[in-house]
Order: sequence, then structure tokens, then C-alpha cells
Amino acid sequence: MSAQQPSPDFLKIKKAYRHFVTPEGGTVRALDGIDLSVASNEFITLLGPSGCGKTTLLNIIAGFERLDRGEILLAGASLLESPPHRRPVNTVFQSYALFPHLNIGDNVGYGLDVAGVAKKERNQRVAEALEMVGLSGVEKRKPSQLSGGQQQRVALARAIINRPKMLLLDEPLSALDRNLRGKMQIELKNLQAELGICFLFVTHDQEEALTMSDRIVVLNQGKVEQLGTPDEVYHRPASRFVTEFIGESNIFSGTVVESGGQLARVNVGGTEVVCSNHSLRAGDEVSLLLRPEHFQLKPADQVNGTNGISAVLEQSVFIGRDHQLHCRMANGQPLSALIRSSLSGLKPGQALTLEYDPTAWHVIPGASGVGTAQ
Amino acid sequence: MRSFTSQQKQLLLLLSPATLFLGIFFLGPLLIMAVYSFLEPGLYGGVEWNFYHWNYGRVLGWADGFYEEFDIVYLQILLRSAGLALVTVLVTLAFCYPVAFWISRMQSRWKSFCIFLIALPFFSSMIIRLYAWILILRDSGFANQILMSLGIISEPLDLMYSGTAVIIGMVYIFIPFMFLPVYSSVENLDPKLIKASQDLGATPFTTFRRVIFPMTLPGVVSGCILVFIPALGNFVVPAMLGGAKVVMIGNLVEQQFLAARNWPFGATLSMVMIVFMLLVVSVYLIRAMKNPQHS
Amino acid sequence: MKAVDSAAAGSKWIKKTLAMACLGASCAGAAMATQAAGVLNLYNWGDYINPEVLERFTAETGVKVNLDTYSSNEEMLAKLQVGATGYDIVFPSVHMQDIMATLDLLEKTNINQSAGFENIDTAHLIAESDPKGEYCLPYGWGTVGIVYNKKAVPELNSWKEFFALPGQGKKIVMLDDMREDIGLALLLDGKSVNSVDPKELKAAQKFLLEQKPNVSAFTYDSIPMVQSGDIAAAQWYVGAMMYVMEDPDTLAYVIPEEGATMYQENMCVLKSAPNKANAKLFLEFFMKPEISAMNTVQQTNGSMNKAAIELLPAEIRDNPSINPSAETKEKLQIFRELGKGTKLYDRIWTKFRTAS
Ligand SMILES: Nc1ncnc2c1ncn2[C@@H]1O[C@H](COP(=O)(O)OP(=O)(O)O)[C@@H](O)[C@H]1O
Ligand SMILES: [Mg+2]
Repeated sequence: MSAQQPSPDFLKIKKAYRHFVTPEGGTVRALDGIDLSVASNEFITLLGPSGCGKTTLLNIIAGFERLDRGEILLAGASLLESPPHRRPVNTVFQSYALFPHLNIGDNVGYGLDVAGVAKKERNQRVAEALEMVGLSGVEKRKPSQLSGGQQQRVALARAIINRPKMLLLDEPLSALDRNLRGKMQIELKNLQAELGICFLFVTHDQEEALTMSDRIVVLNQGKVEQLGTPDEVYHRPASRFVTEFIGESNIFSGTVVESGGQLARVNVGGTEVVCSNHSLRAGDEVSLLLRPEHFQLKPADQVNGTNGISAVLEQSVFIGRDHQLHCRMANGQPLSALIRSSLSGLKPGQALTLEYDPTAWHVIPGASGVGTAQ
Repeated sequence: MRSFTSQQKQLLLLLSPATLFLGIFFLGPLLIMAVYSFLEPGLYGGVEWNFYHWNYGRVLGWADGFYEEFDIVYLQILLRSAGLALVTVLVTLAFCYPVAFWISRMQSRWKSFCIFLIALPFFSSMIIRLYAWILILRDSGFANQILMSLGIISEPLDLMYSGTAVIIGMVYIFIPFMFLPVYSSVENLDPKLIKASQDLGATPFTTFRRVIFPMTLPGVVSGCILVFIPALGNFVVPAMLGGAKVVMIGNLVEQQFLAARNWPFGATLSMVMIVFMLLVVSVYLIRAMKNPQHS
Repeated sequence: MKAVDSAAAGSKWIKKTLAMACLGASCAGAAMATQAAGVLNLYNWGDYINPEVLERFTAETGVKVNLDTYSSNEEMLAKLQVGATGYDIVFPSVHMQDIMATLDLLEKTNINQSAGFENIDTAHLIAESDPKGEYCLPYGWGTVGIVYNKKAVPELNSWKEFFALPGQGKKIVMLDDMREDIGLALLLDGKSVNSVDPKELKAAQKFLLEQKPNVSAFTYDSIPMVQSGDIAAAQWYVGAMMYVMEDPDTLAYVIPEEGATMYQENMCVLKSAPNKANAKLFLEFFMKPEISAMNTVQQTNGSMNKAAIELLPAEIRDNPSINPSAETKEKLQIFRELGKGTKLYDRIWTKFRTAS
């Protein structure tokens, strides 16, 4: 809780491998060579689809699972040899895992009780922890007498009372309804700032990850797909997987027709697209990505011929501030664009030209889109 | 109006078939026994309809006025039966508790198989199963044959007709009664709670003491009651495997109804046993009512 | 909810207790109530009549026989006392016959007027309530002696040797039976097996308590243990001869020289019998020498039908264990009803069983 100089290598995971044998006899690589460094005051999120190894990684850090090989260092010391109860990390479990036979006070005070903290101090710290999560005065109630959101707060209070150096949170908000979730996201973020400790947060919800994190680790099949700030991950996804997983994107495969100077021209199934040139050569296969909000719809007379794609509007959906346009290009591929709703009055079947800024295209060499971003 | 309808409801409830059934087949015999326990024994069994005050005093040791001197022999028997029942409870618990954890961690098809195995004895007669134990425990039985052929012992062990044999038999008979409730509470225990406890800094032992044990306690208590009560009345095992060298309260009741032809005293002993059991059960019920979360 | 649960749980165990308390007593329901003509309902000890006898009776008379069984006199009496009806013939031991006569449960049959009664050994008309045989027909008798394993004990002739066996590292068992065990102690002390003299009974109790550490078990299930050699010798019924004859190299049965208790069961018709004519018919049928002999051969017990004894195979007729000499018979004692003395026996027995 003190404001020390943050250390960038607070948690260091080196070449972590873990596999499981499924009941059918197959092998699942839950962690397939994970490398990761986390700073001591960072809010870092593990993001990935269900089954990608997020819980496994948390379990290994908490000590409930072992590694096949690899190393985990916390503040420079290996964690792997200590049993779970000696690790200076605490966990907020996916379904809270509150002790149903203990009241809230005893749940929150559990960590202090087993550590033998004197009664007076213990009660004071329990009250503080509950206050911190905005839930004072419920010490005498049983967990079953609280709502889901309240239970969530109790689980948080219980996990921070031991003043861990790092808090592990496994999809803590997934059971809450939408409104409450948004509120808790902010509270969690504030709590992290207040405590000044590292939060390792797990979610499969990209929106949540983008909102809360200092950095995001995108995991897929036990591998780190990308590690970066929300902005990097969103705007410069490292792979087609990240692109598809985070936000909505238009993804096209094409062949470079001509490259020279700042720009390159790429043939996407008959339609030509201009993008920035990342030392591409004619004949290279590339994947091109563009977020829907990077298209603009200009009145027909203002179109600057080269930087537009012609498409036919199929459907227009109003989503609050914007209109989402579902279009189809001349080559038959679908295209999605997000347009300010001031431009309304569009009808299905109407021909549109969608403009773009050539530098907005994210170019990934190779048709499959797997590879590092340029 | 309100109280009237609720009264009507109560009346209906009283007349419901379940209540009638319970009244006739449960309270009826109990009442007969309670009445008999205050009557004079008939010379050839049955009862004389005279109030007789000796029966309860006799349980506590007072002489009943004919051929008798003060002797607490009946209390001794009651305590001995309770002692055997208690040992049975403790040994079955010591066996079932870890085994329940072990089985609950198995894959589901092995789980079902093991539970089936444990429940299997329910499908055959207790007497036949105890005869099987005689074949195992006697001097020329399988246990001694195996131990001797392994060279562990040179003379057969005196297993049959011993206290050990009685405890083996009792434990064997009552294991399913303990296992099933204990297992269900263990199976319902969320492994996440154990993780949470360790995560918060509790050693495995503290985790057991503060989480695992209290969470499985309702199952343990049900198991203990389910074993203790029938074990208290069991006399077949001490008779068959222990050679009837000690009397159990169950023998004593049987003896009163048959050999001694003293029905009122048999009824008295049964009443005392029932009260004793009620005490045991009410301790549990009071606990459960105080702590509705548990059960 | 709670209350309902607890009541259900409670009823379970109280029913259990009741079931135990009522063992063979007040809970005994109605007997098989077959009262149609051409039927006879027997209520007998388990395995105490040759099924062939019943088949022959049905074949000859057309009367269908139903058989229900009990395992002690008291069980039978208790069942009749709580009002079980439908039974025609019961097989009480002599002292129980006397009790039943006192309770006016027995029908006068005048069986002694029937043809064949002249074959009955009058020495066995020993029921005090029926010295002439006007009520019941003597059925079978036997002794309670010692069955032993010849490989463990080559020869055994007395109770003294029997009780000395544990000292030689050999195991013995006794019957789990109040009257038999106290009776044996009295008999060995030269007293009546029906003594209600507190001093004599104290002595008997002392004797039993001295033996207790040496006796491996008190049980009725002795034969398999003796046959396997796990137990060297057991106090048991003459019915053991059935097993002795099957396995004569291993087993032997002896009436010890100090004497033994004896038992005798008679066939009695109940006052409440629905088929009295058929019942009398069965008594008369059983007096036929060949029928009586057929039963004795199967039961390997003593017969009181002199003509039947003549028909028995030599190995049974001349077997001193089954049909002992008059001299041995002198030393046999039969149980009588003790009346209020039962309470004293009960106390002694309980005390003895509780001692460790
Ligand atoms: N104990 C286990 N036994 C077998 N397979 C497991 C085990 N734990 C996890 N797995 C597998 O490892 C993979 C990663 O699981 P997990 O870390 O729980 O994923 P998630 O990212 O959804 O939290 C999944 O395919 C899962 O099925
Ligand atoms: Mg998970």
C-alpha cells in the first residue's frame, strides 16, 4: 500500500509450460511457453477465449497447480517451491468461494484469524476492508443473505485484508449483471490505484479488458498472442486472432499489386485498396484490417476517387450514437462500417462509397494473417 | 376467520392418511410399551393389569422385591452397549471419512462403482454376511490361513469370539450407514473453498479444522446418529462373532420377552433406550436448529 | 420442514427399537388362518418333523398340511397369548405344556383311547397336567450332551473332561440358553435342574462364573465350528447325531457319565384349533409305528413308541446316545416350569453374562 518505486519486473514468468491429459486420452497444452513480466503496480489483464489457459496460469501463480517446466519469480524470488498458503498473493475466485458456514466478518477476517492477528486489530482491519469495498456493517450476516454484487465485494475484502503484493482475480465480474458490472469495473480500478499493488485480472470479455487494464495479455491456446496497452491491442493487433477477438474488424486477404513510396496498392478479390507501404513487394500476400469506425461516408460529390470502396448497403442498424452499416462489396465480401447517425436516410440496396485513410489500414504480411504486425 | 381456517387446516392434517399411519403404527406401539412398562409381569408372560412400580427402579439397580438385591447390572449393560456403539461410530467414521474424500476425487464411473460396492451389503441378509465373517475369522479361517502362509504368524490368532471380532463385525455392518451421509457432504463440499482457505494463508491442517471439518460436520453427525442408534440395539454381532460372552441391551430386552417372560421389564428397558436415543438425537436437532445453514 | 424431517428420522429408529422389543412377542400378527375343511395347520419348532411324514399324511387322508415354525417355547406361547389363531397342533416342551394347560389353551383329545396308544411308553407321560395322556401325545425326546471333534479329542465321556479341555488349549462352547446352562451347573452339583433354592443357585452361578473365561462362546451355531476343528467340543442336542452319522470319523456325540438334561416335546391340540378332527386324525396317524419310526430316523432323536423303536435301524435303536440304557436314563433330568423362580434365574443369568 505504500507508494514505492514500481518495479517493472515484479512478477516474472519464464517459459512456463503446463499440459493436461484429457479423460479421452488427448493432450491439452494449457500453457505453451508463456513469458511475461508484470510491474508491481500494474493492472494487467489476461484476455482470451474460454479454455485458453487463463485459470491455469492463475492457479500456478497461486500455487494450486504445478508447472511442467519454466520458472515464476515474484520480487526476484522463485514462487514454485512455496505451498499456496505461503505465497504473498491472494485470489478472488470466479464464483467468490465464500465460506458458507462463516458470517461475513469471519469470512473477511479469515486470513487474519489463521495468521493469529490479535482480536482488536483484526476487527478493525475487517471493518476497514469492508469499508474499502463499500460494504460496512454486514459482519454478522451469512453469505447467503447477500446479493451477488455484495458477495463479490466480500470476496474482494477477504482477498485484500492480508495486504498481498499481488491480487489474482479470476473472472470476478462474470456473474454480475451489466450495470453492476460497469460499476464494479470502475471500483476495482480505483481500488487497485488506492492499494498500489499489482492486479492480475482474468476475463474473456474484451470490452472489460480494454476498459480496465494498463496492459492486456491476449492468450490463445496457451500462448501469448500479444502483450500491449489497450490502445496497442485494439489498434495494432499483432495477429488476425487478436483482431478477430478484440473489437469488430474488417479483414481482407489480398495480393500486393504495386508498391512504391508511401503507399501500396492491394488487390482484394478484384477491389483495389490503398494502404501504407510497409516494405511490401508486388506479389506479396497480405491481410488488411480496418475497424468499422475508420470508414467515412461522404456525400457522393465529395468522394476522392482513389481512397474509397464501393459497396451496396444491405442493412443499417442504429446503435445509439452511430449507425452500423452492413454492406457488401462488389466482389461479394461483407463489409461493416460505423457511421455518424447524422447521415441518416440510407436505404437498403443503395450504392455507397466508403472512404478511408490509407494509413489506417493495419497490414499483416501473409494471407493467414498470423505474424507480427509491421 | 383466520384462526378458524388454520384450525380447519390442522384438523385436516390430523386426519390425513400419513398422520393416521404414523399414529397407528408408530405412536400406538410406543404407547402400548409405555403403558406396559408400568404394569406387573404375568407369571407366564404377558401382563397383569396392576400398577407396578419396580420396573424403572430396577433398571437403576434397586431390587424388585423378589429374590433381588441392589445391583447396577442393567446400567452396566446399557453403558457397555453404548460403549460398543460409540466405538463402532468412531471406527466407521475413521474409515469412512478419508475414504469418502478419496472416492469423491475419482472419475465418475469409478465413483459410482465404489459407492455401489459400499452399498452392496444392503442387498443381502446380515446373518449371512456375518456367517461369512465366521469363515474368515475362525482359527482355521481365511484370515489365519493367509497370515500363516505369509509366515507372519505361526499359531492361529484368536480372532473369533473376541472383542476384535465384534468390532470388525459391527464396523462392517454399519459402514454403509456412516459412509452415505458422510460421502454426500464431502461430495457437496466445493473444492474452491479449500483453495480459498489455503490462498488466505491457512495451512492444510488449519484448512481442515476451519473449513473442511465444519462443512462436512452435518454429514458426519447424521452418519454418527445413523450408526449409533441401531448399533446400540444390535446384539446379533456380539452374539455371532463375540460368542455372546457379553450381554448387550438388545439381548437383555429379548431375554426379558422370551426366557424371563417379563414383558413389562422388557418394555421398561426399551423405554429407557428410547429416551437415551431421543437425548442423543435432540442434541443434534437443537444444534441444527441453531445453525440452519448447516443442514 | 425441520420438524417433519426429525419426525421421519425419529420414526425410523423407534420402529427399529420396537421391532426388537417385540421380537416374537406382542407384534406377532395373526397366524395363517386357513380354516377350510381338509386342512391342518401345524406350529412346530424349525426342522423338527420329517417332511415325508406330512406328505404321507396328505396322501393317505387328503388333508393339506401347513407348517409354521417357532424357535422357542416362549415365542410360541407369546404368539398364542396375543391372540394368534388358526393353528391346530403345537409341539410344546413338557413344562410349557403344563403352562399352556394352566392357561387353558389345550384341547382334551382323549388320544389315550385311540388305537396304537398302547405302544406309547408310559414312562414318558411326564406332564404334570396330563399324567394319563388325555390331552397330548408324546412326540420326541432327547438329551443335551456333548458333541466333539474326534481329531481334537479322541474320547470324551464326562462333563469333567469337557470343562478340562480349555486347560489343554482346546476350545469349548456352551449353549446360549439360560435353563440349559444353569441346569447343567445344578446337575453337576447333584441338585435338581429345577431348583429355586437361592443357595443352590448361588453355587450354580459361582460354577458358571468360574467356567466363563474358559468357554469360548455361548452359541447355538456350534456344529460347523466343531466339525472344522476350530472348537473341540460343544454342549449340544442329541440332534447332533444327524451330523455324526454323516461324518463319523470326525464327530461324536456323548451323554456324559454325570448325566444330562433331557427334553421332551408333546403334540398338543389347541383349544382354538379350527380343524380339531383333522388334528386328532394326525395324532392317530403319528402313532402308527412305521410313521413314528420314519420321523425318528430322520430326526435322530429318541422315540417313545415301543413298536416304532423295534422298526428302527440298529444303528439308531442300539445307539446309547439316542436310546440310552435305563441306567443312563436314570441320570437324565427334565425341565419343569419355575413359576416365580424364573425371575431368580433371569437375574443369575444376566449377572453371569455381564461378568467379565
Ligand atoms: N485439471 C485439468 N485436467 C484436464 N484438463 C484441464 C485441467 N485444468 C484445465 N484443463 C484444460 O486446460 C485448458 C485450459 O483451461 P483453463 O485454464 O481453465 O481455461 P480458461 O482460460 O477458460 O480459464 C482447457 O482446455 C481445460 O480443459
Ligand atoms: Mg477459467
